[in-house]
Amino acid sequence: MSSGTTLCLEGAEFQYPETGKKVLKGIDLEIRAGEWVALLGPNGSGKSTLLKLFNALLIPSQGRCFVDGMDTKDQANTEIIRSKVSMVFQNPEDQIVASVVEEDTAFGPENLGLSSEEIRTRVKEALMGTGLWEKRKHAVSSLSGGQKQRLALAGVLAIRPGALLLDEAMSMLDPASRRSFLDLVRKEHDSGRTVVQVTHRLDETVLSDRTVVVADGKIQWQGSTEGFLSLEESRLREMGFAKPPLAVLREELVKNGILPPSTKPDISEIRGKLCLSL
Amino acid sequence: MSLSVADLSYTYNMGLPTEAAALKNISFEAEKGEIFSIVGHTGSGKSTLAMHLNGLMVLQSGEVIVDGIRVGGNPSDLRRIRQAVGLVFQYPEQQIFAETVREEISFGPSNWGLSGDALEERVCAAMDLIGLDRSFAQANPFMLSGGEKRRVAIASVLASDPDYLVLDEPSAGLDYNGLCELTSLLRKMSEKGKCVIHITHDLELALEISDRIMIISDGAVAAIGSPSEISGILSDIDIKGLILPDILSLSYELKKRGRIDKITSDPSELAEEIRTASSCR
Repeated sequence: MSSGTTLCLEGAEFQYPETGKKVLKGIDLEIRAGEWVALLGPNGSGKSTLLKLFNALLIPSQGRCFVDGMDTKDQANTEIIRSKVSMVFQNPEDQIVASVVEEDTAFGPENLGLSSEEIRTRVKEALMGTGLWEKRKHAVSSLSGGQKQRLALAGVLAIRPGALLLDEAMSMLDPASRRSFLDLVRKEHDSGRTVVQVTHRLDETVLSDRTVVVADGKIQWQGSTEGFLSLEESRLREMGFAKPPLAVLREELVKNGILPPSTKPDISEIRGKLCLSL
Repeated sequence: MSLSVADLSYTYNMGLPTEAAALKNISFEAEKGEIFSIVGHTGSGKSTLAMHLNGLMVLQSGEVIVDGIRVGGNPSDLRRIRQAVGLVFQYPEQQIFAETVREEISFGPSNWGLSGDALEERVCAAMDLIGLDRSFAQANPFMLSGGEKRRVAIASVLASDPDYLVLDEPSAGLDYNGLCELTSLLRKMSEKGKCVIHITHDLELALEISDRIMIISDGAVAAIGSPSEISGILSDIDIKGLILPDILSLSYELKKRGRIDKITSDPSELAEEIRTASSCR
């Protein structure tokens, strides 16, 4: 079991110096060790900026950000914070540094000063886990967009961080790869890691414990993901979301007594229960 | 007039140990006035195919013909082909280069000779079409969010008014409202007689908006047909990387087991079918 990392924002504000635009306006948020939080919001609402505060890529203009109790403002903490909190970006090109698949995956562990044997073990584990082992000797430039997204995740997993930050990390994956990527994240979460996941697809959030909605730089809604997905369609639309079709089906079948209320909006669970009851 | 592709093949790193065939004898024809979606798994060759459609990649074998003009034929035709086929890249950052949104969007039409009020009108119309507030005109595109950059990239291609609009994963990174605006834009473009070639891994979206769908798998055409023909095929055979949307897949499964009568992708309709089946038991 890995130990998860605690992430905390206290009155955090952020203003980009280049534009003077205040993107985050007084955010208070605590993410417990081992928790899986889905971070939602419209384009330009400040989600990616918020994530970047957690691994000290950005420092709050006002307020504070703590990682396992360490203030990200203190530069003496930066190195250890980066080893505890790793991020998979929306565009994998932003974080791929080497020209060969296995060399790119080894970059993080090499920077941690690990032994060659340990680096090899971690690279193999990360590439096997992300389904890229067969491509380990390939040029990164020969990978597709989706394969690069998996490579970015492999590079992060090889660091074995306490918290995984996913910034629309599945946006370029086909449905089957998205399912297996989500499965990988589930395993990482089950092993105790904290997960903060930015996405626009509500069907990707069903495994998360909590949902936080950010709009115009402020927290607009937060609570259990189950509670979020059970909100009235009109309330979800007001916030700029549409209820996932499976959540609609689940709700109607629960209302009619065909499925028990404990059923999750998960296709395997619904399929299994329906095949038994029909 | 159409965009046709015949026996197109392409291999990366030919002759090297990492040689990889990306496209294998791809053939199809996309007509003006239709939304033609190309759907495939991650790494299936979709983006390589997209870059062949306006001559960005040098042909190795096969043919791409745009309104009767052969891509890679006469070099002087390339300008006409690029004007006819607008390509929105998978990652908007790859095509954004200007310092302001206005400059970015006006680059294409000003290259085709527009200036003054006509250029300004074209820029504003493109911003309106994709739902990009005009207050963004003076913004630095590199400082925008991922979804906003995507809107800028789409607007900059729309501003050139191409007859063939090729969009590589245009829905990735868009919020729900952005997705609704995008789908309505694609429909509007096809109604105006444009040919929309929509490249995606999002089968659900392709089934919802397309007139025809081509599935590619490992660089080869696996199926071409209407959305209902494609969902029928996918309910019977496995195609790498593609899974039917949950409601449709459940609906096929229950129908095959004789539990419900109707195939549907609508969750409320499926719930009603299940309720009826349950009350008959």
